[in-house]
Amino acid sequence: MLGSELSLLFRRRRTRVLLALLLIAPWLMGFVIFQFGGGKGGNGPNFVDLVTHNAVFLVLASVSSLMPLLFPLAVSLVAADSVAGEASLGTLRYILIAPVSRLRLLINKLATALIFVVTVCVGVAVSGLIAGVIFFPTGRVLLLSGQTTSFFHGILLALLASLLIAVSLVSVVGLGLAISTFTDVPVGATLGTLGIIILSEILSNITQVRGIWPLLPTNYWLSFADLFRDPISFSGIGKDLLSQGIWLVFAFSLASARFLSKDVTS
Amino acid sequence: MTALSNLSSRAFAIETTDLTKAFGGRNVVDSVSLRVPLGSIYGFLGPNGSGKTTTIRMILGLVFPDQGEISLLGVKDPRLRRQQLSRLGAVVEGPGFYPYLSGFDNLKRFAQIAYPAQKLLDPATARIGMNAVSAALEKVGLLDARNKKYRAYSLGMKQRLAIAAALLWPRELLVLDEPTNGLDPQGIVEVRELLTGLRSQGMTIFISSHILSEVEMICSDVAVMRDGKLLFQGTTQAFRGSLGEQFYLETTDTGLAKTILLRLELADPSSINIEHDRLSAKLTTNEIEKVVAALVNGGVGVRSVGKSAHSLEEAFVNLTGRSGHAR
Repeated sequence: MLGSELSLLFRRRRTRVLLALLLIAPWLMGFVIFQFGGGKGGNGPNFVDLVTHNAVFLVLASVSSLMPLLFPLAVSLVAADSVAGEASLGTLRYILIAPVSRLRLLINKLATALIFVVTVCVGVAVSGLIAGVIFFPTGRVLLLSGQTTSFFHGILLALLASLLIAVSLVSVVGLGLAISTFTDVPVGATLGTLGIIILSEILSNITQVRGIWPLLPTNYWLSFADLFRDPISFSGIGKDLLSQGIWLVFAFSLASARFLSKDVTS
Repeated sequence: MTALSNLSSRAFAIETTDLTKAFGGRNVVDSVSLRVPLGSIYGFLGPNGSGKTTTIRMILGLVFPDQGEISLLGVKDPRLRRQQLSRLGAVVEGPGFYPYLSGFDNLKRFAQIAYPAQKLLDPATARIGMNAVSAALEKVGLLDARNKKYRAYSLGMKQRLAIAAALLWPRELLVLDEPTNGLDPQGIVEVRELLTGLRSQGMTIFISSHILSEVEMICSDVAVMRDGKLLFQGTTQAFRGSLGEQFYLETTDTGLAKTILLRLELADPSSINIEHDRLSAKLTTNEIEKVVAALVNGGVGVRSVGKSAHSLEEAFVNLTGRSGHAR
């Protein structure tokens, strides 16, 4: 069943276009920085000004600029499509009478969306690495804490960072899946999911609501930058993993509670 | 009692008991008890919105009933419903496929996802080769169009692909909701022949329709729904008979004739219809000579008398109401 789900997803033109656009992003960014220089970045872990020093930082600059909007958009498009998309095509009823158990369908849809997330993040990282090597110098990598490390080790850290970002998007997958069980309109589910993520990002910038920050799914999204310290600080990363895990369990429970008792009238 | 009910349910492919479902406070399906005999072609009739599709969705486990029980191929336990679904094929409310896949790839997808359930049912036939997909496509005449994208299919081709999907494995029961929607007359004849052929192989076929004539020719049994209630269930022959025979009388005084028929309770009051000097009615007796004698004694001259030719369509329209039948 997982194989069938994956082939359904990746054979779809929409998915391929989406992937292609995301994979091109680091090349665009690399080319622009190569032409016009890095300049001074704003707040937060900004890797753009470091890109001209080392290829590895193109990976980090790409993923951190895709993180706030384009990654959640791509992920919610796929996750929110999982049940609502089948419902809108009229295929949901035929899947259920095939027969496929509702829980099994949900688990496979979740697994498919998770694989998509990893594909996107690792794909962008690898694409960024290739573009980086072509446009920018290689060699020892300057860490955020001031030390340097080997280029090879830098590459490993960048790939690890892309996996951490994939994990950070797990809450988006869960939310998308859950919302997807409440509607037969995939666009609605996508917008709903994206809306929650954007709201979360807005709230995480308002200091007056500092108290609820740890509950927000996006709160620890930039913790991957801690990988580039020596020694690596795991406190933020650990909190991110815990927060994403809790969001996933919550969202999947919601999705199954809803879907397992739902009258399928689509 | 338990043994007996088990025994009786074995004779039915589908048996529902007081099936009830409300949507928005209204009973869309109201105490429906269907008995679909094994080996029958069962016509499930009713105007659009009469609750047919909701009933079918409950039988298939898509919608959960508020009340009532469903026995599918002799098994009543809802926990075993999914397993029982492997033994039937269904087309519900039109085809549902992926527009960006070809007809062949669509069927392949459904064959793949159904495989684990099919393996539980019968490991021998579960491993369905691509030959079986092709064979199913051939049965409905889509083999030449197998590599065409589904979105490029005509409505009739889509409908036939849905029937092909229901025939991927050998089935004991086919549940078809409006299977001939969108088909041209030639296509309807082909589907009819296909179904008759499948029945001769021992398959039970449950077919819903709002058009009686397409069901009348092939069904051994019929049920009629209206406003969520089951109005009639029985053999097609019994359904024709349930109307009673309609007689017409040409008389000198239709008004007086009507009065006499009503006073002597010789005719069903609601069935009396007068046009010019012609009165038609459903009589309560088979002895038409008594009716004629009564009229003549009452002073009504009878010019001619006879049976009206009747189709099932009229019985159906009378039963379900004209407004519901209009589409």
